[in-house]
Amino acid sequence: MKITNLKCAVIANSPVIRITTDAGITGWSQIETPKPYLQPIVLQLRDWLVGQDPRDVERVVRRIRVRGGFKPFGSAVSAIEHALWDIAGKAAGIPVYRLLGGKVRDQVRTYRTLYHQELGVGHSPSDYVKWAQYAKALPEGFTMFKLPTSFHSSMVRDFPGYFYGEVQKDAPFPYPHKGLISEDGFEHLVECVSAAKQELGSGYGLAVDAGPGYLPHDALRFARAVEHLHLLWIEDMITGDYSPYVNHDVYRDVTHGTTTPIHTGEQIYLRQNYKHLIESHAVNVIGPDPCDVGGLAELKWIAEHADLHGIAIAPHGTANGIFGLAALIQVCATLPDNLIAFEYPARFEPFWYDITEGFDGVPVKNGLIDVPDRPGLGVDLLPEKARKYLAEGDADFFD
Amino acid sequence: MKIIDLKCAVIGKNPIVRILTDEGISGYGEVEQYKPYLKPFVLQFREPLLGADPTDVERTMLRIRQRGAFKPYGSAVSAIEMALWDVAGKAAGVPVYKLLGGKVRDRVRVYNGSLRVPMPGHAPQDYFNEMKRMAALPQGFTIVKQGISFHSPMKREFPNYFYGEVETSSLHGWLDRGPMTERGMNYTLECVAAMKEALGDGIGLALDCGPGWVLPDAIRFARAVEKHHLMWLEDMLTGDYVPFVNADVYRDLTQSTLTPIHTGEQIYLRQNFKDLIERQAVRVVGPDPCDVGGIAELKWIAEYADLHGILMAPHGTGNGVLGMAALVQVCATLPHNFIAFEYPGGDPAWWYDIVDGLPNPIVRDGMIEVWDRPGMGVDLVPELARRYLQEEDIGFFD
Repeated sequence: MKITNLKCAVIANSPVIRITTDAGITGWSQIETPKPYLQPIVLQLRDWLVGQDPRDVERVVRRIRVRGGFKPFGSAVSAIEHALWDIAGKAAGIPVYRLLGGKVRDQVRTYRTLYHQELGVGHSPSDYVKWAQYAKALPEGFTMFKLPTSFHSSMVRDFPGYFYGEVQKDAPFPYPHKGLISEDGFEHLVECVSAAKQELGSGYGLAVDAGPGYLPHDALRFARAVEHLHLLWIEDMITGDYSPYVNHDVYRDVTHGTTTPIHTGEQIYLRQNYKHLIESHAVNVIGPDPCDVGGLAELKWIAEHADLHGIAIAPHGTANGIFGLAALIQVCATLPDNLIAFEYPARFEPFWYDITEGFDGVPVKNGLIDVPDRPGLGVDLLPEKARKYLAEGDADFFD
Repeated sequence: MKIIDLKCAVIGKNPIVRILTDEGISGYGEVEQYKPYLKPFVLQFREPLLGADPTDVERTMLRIRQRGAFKPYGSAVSAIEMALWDVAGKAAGVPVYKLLGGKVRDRVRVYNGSLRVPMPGHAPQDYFNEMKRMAALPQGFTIVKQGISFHSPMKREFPNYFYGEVETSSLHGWLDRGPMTERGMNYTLECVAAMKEALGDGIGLALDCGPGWVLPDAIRFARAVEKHHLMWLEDMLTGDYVPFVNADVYRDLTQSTLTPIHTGEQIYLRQNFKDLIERQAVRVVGPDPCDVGGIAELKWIAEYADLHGILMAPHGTGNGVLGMAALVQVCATLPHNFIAFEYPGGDPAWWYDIVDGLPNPIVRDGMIEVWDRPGMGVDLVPELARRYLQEEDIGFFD
């Protein structure tokens, strides 16, 4: 079997990849939603893929892996890898999890990141109580939630004097702040997180997405101050989303000073860039994103490496779309027991269920998803229904 | 002063960045050649930069530094940084080196990276001849670099050079990799001996050899060439276009041999040099100002390396004449751990005719005299350069 073409169309701000073969099998995948600008980078890889046998996934990915980088530059290689697995699974008539070593669980746990703007609240303790109430009432019955706060939220702008640095009013990219947190700001943060956790109670897990932007001693102070809350983890305090580096040694200092689990990794590309984080036990939980780390097989390898070192894994995926959801289910079904849960890609519009086949609406019940058995990744785009969402420049996407 | 526009045109092979300000001053930066596909990436930074004061270079960089990565994805941010310094220097009426802390030398040493001709073959005699040719160049280079082994067609042309399968992907990077055959190793050593014979001890020889080596072969080879007193062995384990460093593996190699080990051209930002420098994993670092995040970032890393007894030989073979000007400015300010930077030259040769400010000759006795024109000191001349603009870039100088 040979790859005949690679196409990429931006549907609702999300680049969707289509790989076609001479056997008539099509592979689908998707890049994180707010990255339409990656379309040219995907297409630039086409010439190195055409003519290759997509079923020898590693052999194909090896040709292009050098053209990835930390988020957002690992997405093209990663999503192409997903589409290759989709083809390989369909060609063999089996779900992708069987090609990744076989599933070890029938249901996969997923956690829900709940953004304040979804329910229109801000960053006060009473807002955080409402946040927790809203979370518990979600129909999918999630058992774990992630709370964006501190430097990972508008708290920096909304709470006067939150930190000693300058507030960046016109920063073009997210998470521009870093600096010492004021004592007032610190107390406010702890009150807010405590309010959310108290409302949730011990029946639900709470993770906190807090950075990047902390100085390490503030990170340690915060992690210690919330130890009694039994958090699932605190994420990305030192480096994280869109940081083009890791600083694993700084993480190690924080991690070894607290019983609150410390988490990072969503922006990291490839196992080599996880090496020091894992081997020096610099965090307790890693959160690679299959759409940024280099793909599903890469994520699985890293999960096993982490397990070898007593580190848990909670894959990132908030914006991975419906194809990213399918991919996360497949790979998470195969991960070792260090899997906590993957982040549910809640940020896609309901119309995606109408233009695809594979999911019968939101697949989450009691915070779990049944692992489906359709061949490939389990989701297919329906050309006749999806066509109307294509931008003008992508009109020939299905041809 | 405010940025009012950012433009990007591919001139010849290099994407060129132009930053326009409300005071009529323009700054230029150059992206490594072979990367025309980066133009849309450069243009994405237009919106984020509008309104920023380009003379506060660091503050402006803080807005965009997050959106770079290892080669080739650090180039846009890096080229923009250099264009900002160009503006800042012109606005202050001083050469950029004065804004980087002042020059510590009047002439900057370069090594030959780009003045090459295709070799007829890859036999020891071919390497001998090529070194003789380089030694006779009018620039009088005192150090030259040659690609061999996994960094050359040798890996594919010499039969059974290594035990792995030869990759067919034309992408450069960590693709052909594996244990070398004994014959392959001996052949490589013969070529090195021929090069040294041609150059003698008057001209330093550096070898660009990877990536692709497995660690035990790299150690064996570095030990075997110790007698040749090489300047360095570059990128044996990771390097050009490899999206990671593997500093611990480099450390094992470096600590096992007297031959200096060098890497770093693909690395973005100081944080990604940390393990390499603090763990003494190499003897020489070679960041490229067009990939590492710019010239201020390169200077900081040079001082960081110096603190740890590590030398600095900046990469730059594809940086073009504007990139060369930036290298001259920054290298004039580097500490004593500076060896030489890789000479880019103009490619195609008409590049020399469309800029203003280059000395003639550029290189004398293997050195470039540091010039004093404001900014980077080398400027595109719109009326001369315009005819090389592609149709879609026709408004570049407007």
